[in-house]
Amino acid sequence: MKMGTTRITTIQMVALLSSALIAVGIFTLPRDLAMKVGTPDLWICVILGGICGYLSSLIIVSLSLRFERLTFFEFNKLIIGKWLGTILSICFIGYALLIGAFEIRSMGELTQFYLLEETPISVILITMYWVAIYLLIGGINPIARLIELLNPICILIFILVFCLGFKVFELDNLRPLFGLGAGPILKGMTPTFLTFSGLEFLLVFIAMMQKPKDAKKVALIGLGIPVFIYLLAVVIITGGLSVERMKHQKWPTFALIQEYEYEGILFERFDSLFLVVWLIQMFTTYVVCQYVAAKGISQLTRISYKKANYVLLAAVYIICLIPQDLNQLEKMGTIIGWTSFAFSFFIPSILLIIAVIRRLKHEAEPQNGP
Amino acid sequence: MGEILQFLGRTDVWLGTIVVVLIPIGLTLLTDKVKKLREKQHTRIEQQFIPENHVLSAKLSVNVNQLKAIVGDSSDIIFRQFKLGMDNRSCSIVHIDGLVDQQQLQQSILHSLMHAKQMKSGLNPFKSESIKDYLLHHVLEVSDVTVIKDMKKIVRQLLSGSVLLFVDGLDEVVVLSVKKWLSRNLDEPITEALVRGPRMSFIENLRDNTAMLRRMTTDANLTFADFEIGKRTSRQLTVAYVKDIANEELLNNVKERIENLDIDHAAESGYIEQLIEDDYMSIFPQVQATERPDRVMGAILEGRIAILLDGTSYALLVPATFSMMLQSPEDYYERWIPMSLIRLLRYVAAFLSIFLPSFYIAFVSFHQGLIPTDLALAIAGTRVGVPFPTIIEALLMEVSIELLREAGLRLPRPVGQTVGLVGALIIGEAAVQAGLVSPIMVIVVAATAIASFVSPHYGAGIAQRALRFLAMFSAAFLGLYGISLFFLSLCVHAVKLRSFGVPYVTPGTLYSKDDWKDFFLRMPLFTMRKRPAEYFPKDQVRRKKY
Repeated sequence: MKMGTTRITTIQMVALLSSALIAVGIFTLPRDLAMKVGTPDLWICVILGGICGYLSSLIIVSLSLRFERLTFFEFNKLIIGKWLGTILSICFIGYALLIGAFEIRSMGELTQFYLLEETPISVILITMYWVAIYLLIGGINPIARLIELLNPICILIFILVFCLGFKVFELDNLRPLFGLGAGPILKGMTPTFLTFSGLEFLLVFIAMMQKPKDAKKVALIGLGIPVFIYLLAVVIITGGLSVERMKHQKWPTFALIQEYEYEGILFERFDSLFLVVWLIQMFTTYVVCQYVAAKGISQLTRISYKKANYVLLAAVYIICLIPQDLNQLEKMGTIIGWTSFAFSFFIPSILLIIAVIRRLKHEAEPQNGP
Repeated sequence: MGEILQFLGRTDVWLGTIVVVLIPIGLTLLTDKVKKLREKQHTRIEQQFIPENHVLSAKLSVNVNQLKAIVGDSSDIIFRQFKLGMDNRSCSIVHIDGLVDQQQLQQSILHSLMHAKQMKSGLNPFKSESIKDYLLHHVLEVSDVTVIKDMKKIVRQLLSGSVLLFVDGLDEVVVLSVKKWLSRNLDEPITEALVRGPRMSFIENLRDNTAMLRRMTTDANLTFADFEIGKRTSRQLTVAYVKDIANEELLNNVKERIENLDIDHAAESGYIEQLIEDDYMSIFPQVQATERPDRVMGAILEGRIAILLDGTSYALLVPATFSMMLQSPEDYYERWIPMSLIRLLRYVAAFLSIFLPSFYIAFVSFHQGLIPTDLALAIAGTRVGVPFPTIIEALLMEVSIELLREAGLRLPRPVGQTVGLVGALIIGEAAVQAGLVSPIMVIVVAATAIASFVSPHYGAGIAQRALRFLAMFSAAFLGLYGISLFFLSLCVHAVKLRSFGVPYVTPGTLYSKDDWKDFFLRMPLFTMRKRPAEYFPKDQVRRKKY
């Protein structure tokens, strides 16, 4: 009788996906939306973005399910040949690294701004990387367990902190609905879709699931949780701050949390609690990104997974220092967003079409353990 | 292009990269090497504790002299020569004074041998076969009798308290077990005190301990498997499990580890614990030690495995997980609502005892802005005149409390109270009045100390004390961010740790969401219809009906 499994369970996968999606967007999305849309209809964008995300995740899932037990790095060679496939894989690895570096750098900037003004940012970054590498060398199972352990707590605290914002909520700030028609909403679609970058990691993780059949359910719930959190955030921030103020705040989320105070209980303000939980979320997102990249390298080359992690650690550290200031960091975010669009929608669709036309399929022989 | 070159030429980038990569690599290599140390094979010469190979002969005097040569002439070994009742055959009884029940020796052995009646016809008294049968069937009034030929085994039996009977003309030895030695009475468990439940704890005698377990059930599946531990002292070790519940893979794993351990002398089950645990570099106990038979019984009925060692009152339970360190069998003896709350309280206490001083340090020295203004002002007010930074202040108080705790533990009871009194006075009053520490710091330290006493498991309590200091240092370096990182690395360590194949954070991560019923809360008993899935028991259902 076996003691447990070495694959990822369905619940772990849901936690993994949702924590990969909840990331720096919590801080940047409200302002980006306010800048682009300019009317209080921001929240409709989030819902529409979520629906689009679900559609593209369906493409990803059906592509992955055609090739049982194969990750993106392995099956793209089967579809478009060795050379093109390798190039695609390298791009994917680079993209994963870019996201990881971006998340950690944003985390560092925010931590420096709110918590440790006098500490050099490199110290903040390096300590975080050390904790991450300690987790990463353990492989996918500890990662999945950690995320499964922390994700529910984080989500609960997010919901709690945002709901406490109802104290300053004013419904008038959300009106009028469709004040300028549907035009602005469409403009807001780009930043929303960019926030949901991370869906494409399903291309790798579905191969490691215990029951790949559940992948569609995973995509639905794993996407639903972040959409709900973002929706809650956007609605409450709009209601609490109004669109005009959102445009002028650097980080509207934080402005909202600092807006309300509950006197007489132990914490009057919740910014510290929120920051800690958000730090943990950023950490998990980064770990997922680097895992994907390291897994890719170990499948493409003969470098072992552990060694790949150390090499990538250096790469990620250098990448995350490239942006000189917050503006450049924002630009980096935009680049990531567009690449994400390519990897979560464009490339999977093309691959799926080719696979269907060429009737490519791969069936795994029954076996245990990855 | 020039910008890129300039960027790559920056020394801080390169230095940072080197630091960020090389230190983890170095640490990994180091830990790998340290972990290998335990697996290192030493070839050692097979130890012989009994000099040569002795062969028993048919002559009594030869045999007795051989035995004397092996065991030497210790004063506690008694050789008694006498004649067999009916035919004047020479016999000799050898035993160790103090390990044998004297009364039984006199009545059922010596008396019956010396007064043996004339044997019936048909048995030839001069053939060794028949004299052996005669003695076994008609004379000896002892139930546990064996006949052994091997000299090594004979010596071991003698030294563990059996009585040897040498008979002239017999090249074998009759071993009679009438052991009796000093053992204490059943007592209340000292380290795991309880309010409600059976007031007994294991004692130092293995047989009594297994008997205690046996008395709790008449289930034929309760199995005791014996091992001999310690190359020189060879103590008895018993693995207890329920045959049709315990997972086979787990059981084999445990047995294999016990067979592989190589030790001269196991003084306490702590030796076994440290030799069979998964990661000896971890700060968490991966084996649960307990004095309470009811806890052991509960555990083996869940599919876990108990290890009992002769000579200690502590039994070991494997596998162990983090949540177990905060549970007590009493949780199930009282009603579920109060016990659930108490269990929640234990989790809060564990968290506080690790993190409370570090939060104080972080908020006071880094983020005064994040605490309520009045509180910040109050703290600042009391800290006026304190000459040290918070970390030194906190360390001062924490170290003195640890000193007090250790001192109180070792001293004789009447003196111990004095230590408590002096400590309270010095730590509480004097330190504040001398302006060394602030009063709020005293409150923080006291609350932490009380929280750390809540832990129902001593091993987990010590781990918490060590972790508290690490948390304080990380708070002193990086404030709240440092605490978050410390918490994360603690979590990372816990998720990487396994105890006999079971992840240490089970059931925090769900193999089965059913196990949450017995995690933070203790749900009513009727909901626990199945055994915890985390140990993958063979028989999953506890009862059929609701």
